[in-house]
Order: sequence, then structure tokens, then C-alpha cells
Amino acid sequence: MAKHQTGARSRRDFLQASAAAFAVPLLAGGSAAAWADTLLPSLPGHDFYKVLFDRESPAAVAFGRRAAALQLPAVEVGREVTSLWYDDLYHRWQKGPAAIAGLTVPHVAFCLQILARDVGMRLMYRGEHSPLGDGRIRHRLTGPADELARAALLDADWTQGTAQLVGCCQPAPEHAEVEFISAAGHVAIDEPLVSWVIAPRVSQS
Amino acid sequence: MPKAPLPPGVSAQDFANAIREFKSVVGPDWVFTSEQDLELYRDPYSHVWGTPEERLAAAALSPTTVEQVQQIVRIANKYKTPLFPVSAGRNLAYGAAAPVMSGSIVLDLKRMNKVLAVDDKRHFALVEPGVTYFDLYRHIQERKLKVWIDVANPGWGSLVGNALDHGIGHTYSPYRDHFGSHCGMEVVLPNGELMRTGMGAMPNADTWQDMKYGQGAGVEGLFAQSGFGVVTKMGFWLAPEPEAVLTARVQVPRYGDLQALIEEFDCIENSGLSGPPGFSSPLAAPGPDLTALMAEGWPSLQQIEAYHAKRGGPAWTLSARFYGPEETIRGTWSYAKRRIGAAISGATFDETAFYRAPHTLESIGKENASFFGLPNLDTFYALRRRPDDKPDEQLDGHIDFWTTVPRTAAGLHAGHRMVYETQRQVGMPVVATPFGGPVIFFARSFMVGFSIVTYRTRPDKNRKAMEYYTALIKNAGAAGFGMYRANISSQDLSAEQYSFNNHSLQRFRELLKDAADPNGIISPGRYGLWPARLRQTKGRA
Repeated sequence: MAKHQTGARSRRDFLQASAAAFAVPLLAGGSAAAWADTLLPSLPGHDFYKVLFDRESPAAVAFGRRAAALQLPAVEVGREVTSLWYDDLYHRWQKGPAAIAGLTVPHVAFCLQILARDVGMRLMYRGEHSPLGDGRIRHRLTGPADELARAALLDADWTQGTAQLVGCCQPAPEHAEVEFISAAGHVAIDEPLVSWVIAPRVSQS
Repeated sequence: MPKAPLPPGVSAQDFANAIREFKSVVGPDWVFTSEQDLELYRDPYSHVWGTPEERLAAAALSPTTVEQVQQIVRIANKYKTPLFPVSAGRNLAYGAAAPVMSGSIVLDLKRMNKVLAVDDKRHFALVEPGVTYFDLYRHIQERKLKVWIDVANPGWGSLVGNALDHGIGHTYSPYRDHFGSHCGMEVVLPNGELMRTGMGAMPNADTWQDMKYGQGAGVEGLFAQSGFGVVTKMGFWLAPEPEAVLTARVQVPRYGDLQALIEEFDCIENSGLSGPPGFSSPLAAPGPDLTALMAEGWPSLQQIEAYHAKRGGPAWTLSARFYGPEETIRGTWSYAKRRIGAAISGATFDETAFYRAPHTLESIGKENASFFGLPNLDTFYALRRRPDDKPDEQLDGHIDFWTTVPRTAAGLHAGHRMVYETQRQVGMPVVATPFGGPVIFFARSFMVGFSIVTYRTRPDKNRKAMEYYTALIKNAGAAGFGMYRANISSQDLSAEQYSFNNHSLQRFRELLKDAADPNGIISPGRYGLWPARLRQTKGRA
């Protein structure tokens, strides 16, 4: 298992700096990566404990690379959840809630979502990425409305855009659902994957 | 998420007042009424997801102490707001943290999670309802205690919750019946009073987790699959850590050898010499010959034997596990070979593995961790896609059907035949065959059953799953094969099958329920037990 990346410079500093270096106009045909970087200063995300990606899926690995490039603490995982939780996440969460995110097979996301409830965390964003059998992929996303409003821009390179979407995911009172189909020719998948963000619950009181 | 319903018969004002008083007991952060929070109290595996049949909570509360539970129960009585206690709320396939009756307030006991005692000399534990198998295992490992727990699968469930729903594990008979291996419980009664069972009823007794009965009529069973109180502590007997585990395989040549194989191994298991055996048949492997055999109805013995002759190989395989000191379990295995070999000509025997303690996920390799008392989440591989799923389909869960049949070859085959006939009746793919094995959840019976997968995005498939599940319950009941647990959607129907003498058992329970819980606030509808005020409507408008 890859080590949690840490550095003297905070992730937020990095994201803001990289965003400042971009001047890509929104909705002007820029890549998803450029789009997301541009948005990041106004959408600072969580300080993630880990951003997990499925080591068996090339699409998830691409997601992980992009997450690492954004200085997110990207870590590859297998499909067995017991050790990940028992030996690692349990100990971190004993110290208090800590956000995690990922692009994994669905059952890994499901298990972590349930386990995270015990420490007051909630599933904040979930994206289902399902192959249609002809190279195209259907994306069904549920999460903060502001961010999902721009989700169609994931079309160009959805793994890259997804890394940035989860990276800047913020709690929001309004949740929305969006669904779209991305064209063949980019990163293909042969089984459904789920992108997700699990973060501390916002007090309702 | 659909709008949270009000409790049946409770006004919006009374509900608001109750919520306000609950907040004063557990704190505002631990009374859940928002859509985001109540999402956690939906059944994620539900086959009625998003339909009017889905069971939804009105609110949820999460106390940390027995005193808080008592106060909550008293407030619930005041406003007649029904409570649905859950422990970890992970009873997946049977409803998870969702209530049987929509409009119930889920009493989430997850934060009552203290391991109160583990004694590795007297071999017991005393825990609160929020303690999971993982929690108890970690407690034991960190203190290097020499006891084993019998874990449910998956291991994130609550010991108390699993036992109270008659859940099971996978090691020796005395331990894998989790309710049967409990010893002593503490209960908040429907009026808010605190009660202890067994020796716990005697002040100053130091034998609460050693002696089950105390004196007089036992009442512990009233708190399982039922609505007579909120269990706040429960004791469990634990096994001494076995020095070794030996796994072995027996194969028999003829289809008709199964009965003798069952009988011979029954003597071994019922003598306390082994863990539960597994029975399977190599002839169950899918293929065109098997499809042809099952195409025209349940095959005759002659057809089965002709199919076997064509396929060749052994007819049945028994997988055995022996737990204990090396010299003992090697002796038991020798005894098993002698006994079975004398009864069944042509039986073959293989020792497949031998493991010395300590048993860890690393040391057991690909073995089922639950067989070694190791909590795990491996079962979620079951949620992987099926070969016949469309590329974009992702199943979301399953509901489980397990029905009790006699521990005989005839009983086993009759169970599978009932499933086969039901599959044909409702137009499901036919997968039941005369080569299906049992599972052995409880010591003296077989279980026949399987999981029916569910898809949130495919309501058509879910409707078919419900039709299938309903037909199975009815057909099993007609054959005398009752379910030992049921999904929250179908507990009334499942309970109705236990109908001897005009449902005298359930009517007696109702008599007790009305006396003990006159306001009907604890778990209305759980396993078909409704309080008088909701008995006719079953909580529906």
C-alpha cells in the first residue's frame, strides 16, 4: 500500500497556486483538468486522509495519478476491505473524523460508507460510472448541486475530471443528481466503478 | 429520499414535542430528522427501494447510556411514538437499520459500545449492543486473551443484534448459535423499568455470565425477533482458543450414499467432536447435461443416476473441520475415517490442511476467515457483478431466503425441489437441482436457501424478486419448511406460516405483548408481532 503523502505545503496552497497559473475560460472547450483547476480557489475541498483508487482498474489508476498530481494523498487499494479498515482507517478515525475519497469498485465504497457512519461521517458525493458495452460510459452523479452543475465537463476525460471533482467537493445544503453519457475513445472500463467522497457530517442542530 | 412519515396515529405536534424531549435526553446532535441523516436508516439492500412498500423511519435517536434509553422509552410512552431498536443496524439482507413499520423512530444503540468484561478463564464476554465482532476481537487481541469469538459474516455486525435476530456463526455447535450461546441479558422494559435475566436478577451474584437459568420461568426468548424491550447488555459464552484446526474432505461414490454420510457425521458432530460439516456435489457444476436434466421437471432417481454415470466422479463431498489440540483432532479424524469407511464402501478421505494457533488472516491463506473466529468483510465480494448482468448493471444487495428442512437426504432434496418448483412457478431461472447441498446454521437441522439479488435502478427486477420471495415463503410454509429469519418487508407473511392450532403461538405472544407494552411502542410489527392498537392496520393508513 502506498504511503500517505504529506508535505510542508498544504494541499489547499498548492491547488490555489496551480489554479492561479491557469487562465482557461470556463465553458470554452478547455479540458476537464483545466476547468477543475480554475474552479479550485472558490471550491477548496477537504483535507483528505486518503484518496483511494482501485489498483486493478486502469481508469481508477488514471484517476489516482491525477489525484496525486494534485497533491491529494492518493493510495492504491485492492478489493478486500477488511485490512484497509481494521489496520488503517479504524486507527485514524479513532482520533476523529477524517475525510476520504476514491474511485473504486462499488462494494469497497459501500463498506467504507457504512463504517464511516460510526464516526459521524457521511457520503457527500457519489458518482456511478457504468460501461454501456460499446465503449461509452454512463455517469450518474449525486452530490453538491454547485459542483454537479458543471459535471458534464467530465466528458472529455472523465477520470481526470473526477479526480478534481472529488478533490474540491464541499458540503452544500442543496444536493442534485445529474446523468450523462461520455463518448467512447477515452479511458474505458469493463465494470462499474464508483467515485465518492466521505466526509464529516455537518451538524444539523 | 421520500418524505419521512409521521408515526401512525401521532399528530405532528406530539411528534415535534417528542423530538424536543428526546433532544433534551441525548443532545440535539444525536436526534436525527434531516433527510441526509435519515438516509442512513433506509435498507440499502431493499428490493422495494423507492416504492410505497419501502419502510422508512420518522426519526432516529442514538443514546449512550442505559439511563438515556429508559428516559427515551418513557417519552415514547407519553406520546405513543413507536421505537425500533437496532444495535449496529447492519442486518443486511433482512432490513439493516430500517424499521418494520414506517413511521417508527429508530433507536440506534451503536454508541453504546463498551466491552464490559472478557474473562478468558471462565470464557465469557459481557457487551453493550453497539459492540461489533471487530470490536470484541480487537479487545481480545490487544489484551492477548486466550478466547475465540464465533463471528457472524460480515464481522461488522453487533453481537447483541445478531444474537437477537437468531444470527449464526461458523465454528463449533455450542457457539455458532449466537442466541443459544448467550448467558444473561439486561433489558429496558416497555415501561422504562430495568430488568436482568438469569443470575443477573440476584443482587451481588458473580455468576451472571456463567449460569443461564437462575430460577423460574425463563423469558430471554421474548427479546429475540420481537418487541418486548430494549436489550442494553448481553453476556456470551466464548470458546477457549483451539490449539489447532484440521480440515478434511470425504467423498462418496454413489448419489444414494448421502443419507449414510449425513448419519455418520451427525454422530461425530453431535458428540461434540467437530465443527459443522459442509455438503456439496461435484454433479452440481453447470453444463448442458445438467440443463437438459432439469428441463422437464424434477428428475427421477433413475435419470439422476444416468446423469451421474455420464458425468462420472464422486457424487458427494463432505468438508469437515476439527478444532482442538493436535493429538485430539488427529484422533477424531482417524475415528471419522474408520466410521465412515465402514459404513460407505468406496468413500475416500483427504486431510486438506492443518493450522496451528495463532490463527490470523495471514496464516489461514484463502480459507474462510469466519471458520477461524476472524471477523472480516469478505462477504461483500458477493456484491460483484453477475455474469448475466448487463454491462452497466450494478446490483445493490440481496435478500436472503433460508428455510429449515430435516437433516436427512430426503429432507434436503425436498427443500431443493420446493425451490425448483417455485422457480418454475414464477418464471425465475431454474438453478435448484437434486445436487444442491445444505448449510448448517444450527446443529440439528439443515437449511436450504440462497440470496436473491436486488437492483435500485431496476424496479422490474426488484418486483420479480419480491414475487419470487413471496412465493418461496408460501411454498416453504406449505411444505413445513419455515424460515428462521425474514426481511422486514415480509415478516408478517413469514410469521403466518407458523400457524399450528389457529396461530396459537402468535396469539399467546400477542397476549403477552398487550400486557407488557400496552402503548405498543417497542418494535411494532417485528416478526409479525403487532400491538393491539396497530394489529388490524399494521401501521398503514
